[in-house]
Amino acid sequence: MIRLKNISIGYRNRRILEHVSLEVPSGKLIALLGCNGSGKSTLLKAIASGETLLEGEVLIDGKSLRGRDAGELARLIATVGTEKARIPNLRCREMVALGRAPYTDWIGRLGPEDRDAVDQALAAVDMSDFAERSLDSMSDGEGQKIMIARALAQHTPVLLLDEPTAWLDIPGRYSTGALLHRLAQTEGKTILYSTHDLEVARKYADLLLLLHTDEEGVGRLALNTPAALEASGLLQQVFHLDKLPE
Amino acid sequence: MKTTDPIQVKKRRNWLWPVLCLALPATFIGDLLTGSSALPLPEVWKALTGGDVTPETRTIVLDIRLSKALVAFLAGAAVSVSGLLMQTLFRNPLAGPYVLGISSGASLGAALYVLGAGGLALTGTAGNLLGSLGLAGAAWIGCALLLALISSVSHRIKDIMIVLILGMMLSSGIDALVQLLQYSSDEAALKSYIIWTMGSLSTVTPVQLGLLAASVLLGLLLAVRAIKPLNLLLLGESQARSMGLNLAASRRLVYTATILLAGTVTAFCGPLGFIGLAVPHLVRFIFQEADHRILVPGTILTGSLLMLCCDLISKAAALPVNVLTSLLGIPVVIGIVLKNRNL
Repeated sequence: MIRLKNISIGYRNRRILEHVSLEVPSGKLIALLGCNGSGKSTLLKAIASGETLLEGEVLIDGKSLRGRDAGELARLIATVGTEKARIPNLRCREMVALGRAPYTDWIGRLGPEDRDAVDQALAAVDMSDFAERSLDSMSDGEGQKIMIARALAQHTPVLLLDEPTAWLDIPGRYSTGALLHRLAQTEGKTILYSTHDLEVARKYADLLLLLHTDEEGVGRLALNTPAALEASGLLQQVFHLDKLPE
Repeated sequence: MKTTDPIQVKKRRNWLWPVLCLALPATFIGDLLTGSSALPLPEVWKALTGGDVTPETRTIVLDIRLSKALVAFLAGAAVSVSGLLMQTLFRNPLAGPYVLGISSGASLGAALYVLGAGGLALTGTAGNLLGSLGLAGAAWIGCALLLALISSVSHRIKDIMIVLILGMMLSSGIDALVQLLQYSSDEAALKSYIIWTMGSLSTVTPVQLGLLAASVLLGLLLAVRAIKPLNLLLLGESQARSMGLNLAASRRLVYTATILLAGTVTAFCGPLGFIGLAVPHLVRFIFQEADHRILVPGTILTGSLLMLCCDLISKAAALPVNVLTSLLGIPVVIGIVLKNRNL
């Protein structure tokens, strides 16, 4: 569970949200939606590293993130960035094993427990057969699954993904959405991902987190089920849509 | 080469390590046997073990050949590992102490030292500890300044080609500055500077060799300490931090290692061509690995081996060692550029 306690986020000369409180439940897939420049990445950064957090507090499963070093944070939150992972000569298994970094010794040696975690993470994204393939030999969608497996191996209650479907083709977007939905349920994690893909989000996300500005130009966050946000008309209003496709 | 079969890679590693470990001492001995005066192995062996040989033979073997071979051994490992550190930290396959201008920074420091305050004294103190420390210290500072400059640029500009071009511009600018310094220097300082620029593996004095060995060993130890951070940095800085890496501490570690390795070698041997850039690529290619637990020791061994080979060939063919390292490195650079045209 992620709890935002009276947070303000943004940069010194541009505040995006002011004094917002919110609770994001566990075991759910939450899609963070908003127009370009609305501050989706800023919000993710505020949660992940506190970099863009100006005021307030973020709590994961009741534990405040304030004052925690990178090593402690890495056991609470795993992230998947927007970058493609095309590292020559690095095998998928080795990439996923890097996710064990918060638990391994100074040179990154894997114990039996770490090896199990890696195998489980690969199995969870259906990539066990690709374990020995090198990352530069794989498609974008396969590479993205490996990056998700790496984040799973980190064994954190929260998983944050910044536009994980941005450079995937249409089938890749849907299969990633389905995968994240399944992982949230089976692993009991809170999975929050930012996206522009309203269709995939409506289909697979349990909840939508809508980042928008109201008439007075104040930043707002709305968290609800896709159906509820549609019924209230907020979804249509934010994305300037007359009618959402069936 | 696309799929890296783990069994094949492991098999390859099984014979690569022994081959490297055997080739290194063999080349070292070969290097001791090669030179302008032909000395048979028994003579060289006697000189090394303190047996009964002529004073000339002793001087040739111990003071000239052994010292030069040790310098080649240390310098090869040092510049190669510093290249590996920079390639991973800057996520730039073309990074290396020479290409990014970091060697030039060390040269500027050394030039300022030789031509400036220390210059007059240096002719007399080149061999002693104070003079050597001064030279190394000046190179370290120059190296650190250039590293700071390059890293601040590469944080703002993600295009690695631009970072590279800036590095080259920086080295050209520094060369111009050094020439300006030469122009305004007096004769004695200029002479000792010219001697320094001709510097190669052979001009290293025993005290400098000691200082070089200490700095390189410390630098290599720090590089080994940086193995796990380097593996995480393969994914980029922000992703590495999300995986628990203390970025500031890791950067400090890698920079210190680079300064000790690249700075000291440049101070005592001059810039050594493209070897720092080429060796890490060679090691990635022959081992088919991206893991620094393999790359760091592999680079140390291969770097030393190649530098000893370059030294051996340079002696046999009477060519400056810089010419050989450049001839070796430039094809690698061109190969990488052609391979990733969309860098």
